[in-house]
Amino acid sequence: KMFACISFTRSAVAFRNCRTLVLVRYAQTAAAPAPEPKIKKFQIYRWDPDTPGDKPRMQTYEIDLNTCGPMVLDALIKIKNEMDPTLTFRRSCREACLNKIDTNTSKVMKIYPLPHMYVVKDLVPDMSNFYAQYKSIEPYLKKKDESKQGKEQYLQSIEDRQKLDGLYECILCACCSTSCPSYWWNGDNHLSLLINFTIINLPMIDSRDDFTEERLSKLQDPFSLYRCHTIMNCTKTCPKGLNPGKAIAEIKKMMATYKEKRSSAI
Amino acid sequence: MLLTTVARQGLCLSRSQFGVLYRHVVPMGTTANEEMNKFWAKNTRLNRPVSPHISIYKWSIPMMMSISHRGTGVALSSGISAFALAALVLPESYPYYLDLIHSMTFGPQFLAFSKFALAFPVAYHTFNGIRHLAWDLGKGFKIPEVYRSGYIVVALTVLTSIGLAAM
Repeated sequence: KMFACISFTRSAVAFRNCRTLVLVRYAQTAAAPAPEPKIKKFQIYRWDPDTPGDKPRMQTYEIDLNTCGPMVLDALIKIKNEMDPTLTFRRSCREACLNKIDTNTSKVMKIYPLPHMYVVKDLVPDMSNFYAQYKSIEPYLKKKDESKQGKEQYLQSIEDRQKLDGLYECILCACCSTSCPSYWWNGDNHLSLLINFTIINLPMIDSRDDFTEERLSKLQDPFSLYRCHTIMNCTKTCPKGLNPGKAIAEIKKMMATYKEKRSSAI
Repeated sequence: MLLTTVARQGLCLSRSQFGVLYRHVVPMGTTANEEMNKFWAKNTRLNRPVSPHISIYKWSIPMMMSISHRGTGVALSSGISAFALAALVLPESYPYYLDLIHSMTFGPQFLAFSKFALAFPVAYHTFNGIRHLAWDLGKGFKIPEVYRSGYIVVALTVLTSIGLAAM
């Protein structure tokens, strides 16, 4: 009972404080004028597989930027919550590297899915090919002698570890591959463009992997690596600020100098 | 009490069912090639649209310079091949055609323009080619460097073409 008494008085005190605070706040907001709605137009690519005969189209939405967060993902979520629940998109990015909305309301913001990808619905592309290509480069460390696996750490010098900087940060977002015109025209080749996996072909650069030459010899065909013509759209668009273009150039250099005989002898 | 026994029985049943299912499960291992084939089969079967690319992607200076390098390269090689073919096929000799062109009267602006138009692809392809060679050595891959080298190539091209046309 005593307890209840104390808590009651405490909450009363709080309430009183709150009320005064509220009064103060009202005074402050009353002074400021209501902000004008800042309407920005968003044109978003839409396509519904469940509607027969539906053609891909651009749909326009208007958002008041004053009631929306600063990132493009905020705008998409706002549209889905308030205007059109059928808008479909992935949001694994969690704004980690998305763009801020350009607050210039005279410009329309156009949102498309990743270029030259099969569309599952609205802004969602089919990424399976991308993941299959990732699988094909065997993105894990391979040792010639597996007997010591799990016993202790594989050591690596500081210089060797520094070679991985600028490569390991890749988040597999596929922005680079899908921005490359060469990938647009050659993505359907089975030996197809693995080029942008060169940036995450960490095992090739990692000193702890023993299969560097085999990995390089795997790229010895006209399509996997050599469809890259240094257009440099990849580096320009990487949301993490990495340089796939440079990584590919470095691998091209490695291809010119590695000993082919040694790997074919194995 | 009755409820708990029934519930427990239900749980037991489901677990044994699960046990049977679990024993028959086979790990789903697909090779990369199999996955790629499945991808193409599925997408062509479903007739999904391909997201827009060249029609919507924002053009940038490096992109334009890259396609111009290809364009000037094709133009130059087809021009030289056409010249070679003409030399092989046409009835008269080269001096005859040279005198023919000399005898024609062209305005000075037309001459200057056509000399510029001939020199421009040669100069552009040459200077951008040097830029490509630098890239082959692994140099100049940062984005500001790409833009800087691009502007230098364009400036050199214009100056060289004017210089060649003025000769």
